[in-house]
Amino acid sequence: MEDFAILHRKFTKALLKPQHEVPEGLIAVKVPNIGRRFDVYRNNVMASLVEALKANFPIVSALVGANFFNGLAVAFISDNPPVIPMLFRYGVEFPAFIAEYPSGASLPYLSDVAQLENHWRAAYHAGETQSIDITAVQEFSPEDQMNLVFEIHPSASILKSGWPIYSIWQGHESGDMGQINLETSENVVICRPQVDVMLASLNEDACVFFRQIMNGQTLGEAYGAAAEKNEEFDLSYSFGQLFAMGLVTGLSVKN
Amino acid sequence: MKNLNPSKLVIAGAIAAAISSFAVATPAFAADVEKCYGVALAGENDCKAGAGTSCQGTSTVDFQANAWKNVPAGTCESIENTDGTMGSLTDMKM
Repeated sequence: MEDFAILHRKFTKALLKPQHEVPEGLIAVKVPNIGRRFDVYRNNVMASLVEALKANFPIVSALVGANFFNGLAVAFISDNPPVIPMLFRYGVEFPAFIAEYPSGASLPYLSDVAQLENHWRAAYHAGETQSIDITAVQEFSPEDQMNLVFEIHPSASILKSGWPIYSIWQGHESGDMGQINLETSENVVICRPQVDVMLASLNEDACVFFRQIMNGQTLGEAYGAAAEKNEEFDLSYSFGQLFAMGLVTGLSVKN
Repeated sequence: MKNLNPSKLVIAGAIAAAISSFAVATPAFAADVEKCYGVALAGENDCKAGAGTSCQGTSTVDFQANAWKNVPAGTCESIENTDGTMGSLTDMKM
C-alpha cells in the first residue's frame, strides 16, 4: 500500500507538469506504450483546466489572444491546481500570478483586469437579497439621515486600480474598445442586485464615500471623508448611485 | 477652505436632490423581475460537453509541448497609450 501511495503522489505530480517523465511503476494491460496513454490523460486534465480558466477570465483571454492565454494558463495551472471542487472559483490567485509573469510585462493592466473578473464572478455567484429604494430615506429626519448606516448587498464589492479597468471591461462588453487612455485610473463598484452583474466606475472621492458606507460608517462620516478628499465631492450623485446600483438592502440609525 | 464638518442641511439637501433625480430615472428594485433559477451562463451550471471535457484533446498533445509563442495578440492591440507603447505585438521583455 505504501508503494501505491508513492506512485499516486508521483502520478498527480507528473499530471500537471508536461515536462515531467511518466511516473515509474505505471502499468497498463495490453498497452505497449504507457507513456502515450499517460500523455493523453495528462493532456485532458490540462485542457479541461485551461478551458475552465478561459471561462472564468474571458476578458483576459480576449485581451491576450488564444496562444498567449494558453501559455499563461498552463504555467499557472502547473503550480496552482484547483484546491476546491468548484471550478467557478478557480483562479483566485490568477491575478497575482499574472502580475509576476515575465512575458506579461507589456500589458501591465492585465492583472487588474483579471482581478475585476474575479470580482465579477464572485458577485455573479453571491447570495440574493432584495435591495431597497432610495425613497426609503425620506422616512428619516435630517438629524437621523446624518447618522444613517447602510446594510450592504452581499454581492457588492469595490476594486481600486491604477489602470482604466472599467473602460477595458466596457469595451469588451460593447465589442468596441474605442480609444482607451492607459494613463487613466479607474475604480469600480460591482453589484448584482438582480439577475445581471452591474459595474460602475467611481472617481477617487466617490470611491472613498462608497468604501466608508460599505465599511459601516455613517452617512455623515462618509460624506466628511469624501469631502476631505475633494471639496467638490458630489454627494447627491454618489448617494443616488449607491441606490441605483442596488447596494443598499437596509437602513438604520446609529446613535 | 470650506468647513468640512458635514452639516445636516447639506446632507438633507443632497438626499432630496438625489431622490428627485434618481427615483424617476432608476428602475425600482421591486420583485417585478423573476429570476429564472437554473438558467446560468452557458456551461456554468450544466455538464459542459465539448471543449474541456474528457472527450476533448484525446487525439492531440497540445499542452505537452509548451511550444506557444509568448506574445499577446488579442484585443490588447487596440488599446494604445498616448505614446503608443502599450499593447504592442512585439514581445517587450523587460
